[in-house]
Amino acid sequence: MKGELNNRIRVYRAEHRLSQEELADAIGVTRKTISTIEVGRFVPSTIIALKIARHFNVPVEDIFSLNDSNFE
Amino acid sequence: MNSIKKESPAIIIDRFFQRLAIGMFILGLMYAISAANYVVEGDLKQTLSLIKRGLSFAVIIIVLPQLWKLMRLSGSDRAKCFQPDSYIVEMYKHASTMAFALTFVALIILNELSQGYFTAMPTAFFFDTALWLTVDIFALTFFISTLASDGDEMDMEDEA
Repeated sequence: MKGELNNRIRVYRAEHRLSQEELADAIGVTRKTISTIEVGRFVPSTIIALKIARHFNVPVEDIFSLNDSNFE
Repeated sequence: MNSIKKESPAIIIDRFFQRLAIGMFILGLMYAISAANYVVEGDLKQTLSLIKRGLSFAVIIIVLPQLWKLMRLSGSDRAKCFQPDSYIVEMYKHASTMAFALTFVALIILNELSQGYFTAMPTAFFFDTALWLTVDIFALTFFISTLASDGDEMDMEDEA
């Protein structure tokens, strides 16, 4: 699973000056869920991905993208 | 300035699951002691009983405070964080699958041992051994899965 999904959560968090804990609280998941998604250890469900995108008010594709090198 | 930071519902639930896994690991050790009680005799048997009693207190001390914090959360906070697709829940599923699979292997081995080497042992010995392996495999798999470095900011703060 690791490496198939790129994400820009850390970038968006930095822009919004949010800690992992604050983002976790805002979307109702544990901090561990956010930290493991950020490093690519855990692939989030569609619901979590949409909640993160909605929190930052951007389309989900801006935050998550497939790692194309795995599909060539 | 208030230096005591209020724990968020997410952290309370994170810690509850971790404490629960520690509690399960200790519970597994208690089953191991119960199984060992059928093998040892005399003073060692008494010592093991004392250790088992101590471990049962340890389980209560480790799990109960965090359970209390969890119970004090409002219903909506609790429901919000018990997402069926969170990382911790995923690791619990992974640990359960691993424990389930390895328990079968353990049962096959115990079955062989019961017919060859431990013919005089009571059934309870094999039950305790199987429960010990199941519970501790679950707990250890959970720890190994969750303890690896994952860019957790709190872990980084702790290391700094």
